[in-house]
Amino acid sequence: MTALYRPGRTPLHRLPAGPKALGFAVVVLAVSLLPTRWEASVAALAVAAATYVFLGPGLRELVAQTYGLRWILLIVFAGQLIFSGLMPAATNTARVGAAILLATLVMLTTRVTDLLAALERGLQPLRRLGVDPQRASLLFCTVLTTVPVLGRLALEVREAQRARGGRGVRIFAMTFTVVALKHADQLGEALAARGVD
Amino acid sequence: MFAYPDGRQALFGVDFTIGRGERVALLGPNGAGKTTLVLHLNGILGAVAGGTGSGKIQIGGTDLHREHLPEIRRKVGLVFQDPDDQLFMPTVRDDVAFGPANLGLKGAELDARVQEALVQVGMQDHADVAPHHLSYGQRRRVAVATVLAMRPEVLVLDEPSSNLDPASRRELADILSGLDVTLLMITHDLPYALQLCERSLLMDGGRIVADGKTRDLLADPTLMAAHRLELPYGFNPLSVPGPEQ
Repeated sequence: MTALYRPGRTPLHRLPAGPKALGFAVVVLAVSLLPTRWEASVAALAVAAATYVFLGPGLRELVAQTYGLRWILLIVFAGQLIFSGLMPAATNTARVGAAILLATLVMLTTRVTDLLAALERGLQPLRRLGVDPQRASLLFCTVLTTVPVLGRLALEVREAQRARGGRGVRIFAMTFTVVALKHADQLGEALAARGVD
Repeated sequence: MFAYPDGRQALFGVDFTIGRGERVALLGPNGAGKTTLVLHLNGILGAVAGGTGSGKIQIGGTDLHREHLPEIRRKVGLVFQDPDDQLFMPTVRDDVAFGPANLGLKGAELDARVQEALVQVGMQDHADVAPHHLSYGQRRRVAVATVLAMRPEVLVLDEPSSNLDPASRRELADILSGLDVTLLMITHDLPYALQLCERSLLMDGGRIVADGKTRDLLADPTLMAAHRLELPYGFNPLSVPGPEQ
């Protein structure tokens, strides 16, 4: 996710991070709550496509993001097809696709640092309830930046497993958990070394 | 003395002093207690942070106690072995800014501090890049910058040359030799120790077993063999120049 940002000067790029994230959260929620009708799904897809083309990074990025979602959409469609039939599967998959595309737009047009600053500001009112906005923002940030590190660790574990002819999911999961916990432990030490207790 | 919370004793009577501006290598076989020792130097391990132990650590005249931790952590900068453990912000700039921001710096002063640290490691052109998009050697340099930005008096590095290609290893040596700080460096890379540190401490079994000039230690085959240290094939510590004084 940290690699999603595309620099640009589109209207969405110019919107402040906080209102933009909030606005998109409302739109994505609305898309998720639409009735299971083909007209609603077409409308959701049209809104997503129009936002990319007219307010965001354009048609090429829309195609690239949709292509990137193909496996997720296929899995959603297959699952829905088994339990609900063709038309509900198609409409629900279209809605899920539209929701993910719209949510991705926030990351495509907003620097993570701006998003974190907005999150920190947004959480300020919760300070009186004991929430530390800086800590919450740091937590969110470390979650985001740990994703590619865990991805790399998972790849290394898989490669080591394959190199010895292993294919078991259970062994992979166990090894990966140990490696991930070790990383978490060392990340904690690094945070402490730089002034976070 | 120090034992981990599970009872495993890691340090048995470690006593040494490092003078201001000295460059010291910490050598020893795996499991000697080197990393455990350096994690004590800014209170990540030890009596203030779990485990049981006894003794006293003083950094620049300040005793290591819980109430002095922020000051100690500003004075002692730790560069971890794996830069991925150290880099956790979305961009290089944010990562380098993290430590000084925790010290209370902000605005133009913080920006200047970040720029200064990035220039010191030659990474100023990568400030807006996500750390995971950099090469391993570049990530190591950024990890050094994250610590330099706190202007530490003591720079502690855990295996700084590990996993670096020869060019990155040499570039990092150039950076480290140009810094005006006290330096303590854990390493298995004995030529690197000789190149950068005039003095070495040799640890084994949780104890300091030798303390002297790096060249003298490396040139003592009996001492080296007794503590599972080996020089690279054909390397003679008496025939190469040591660190610049």
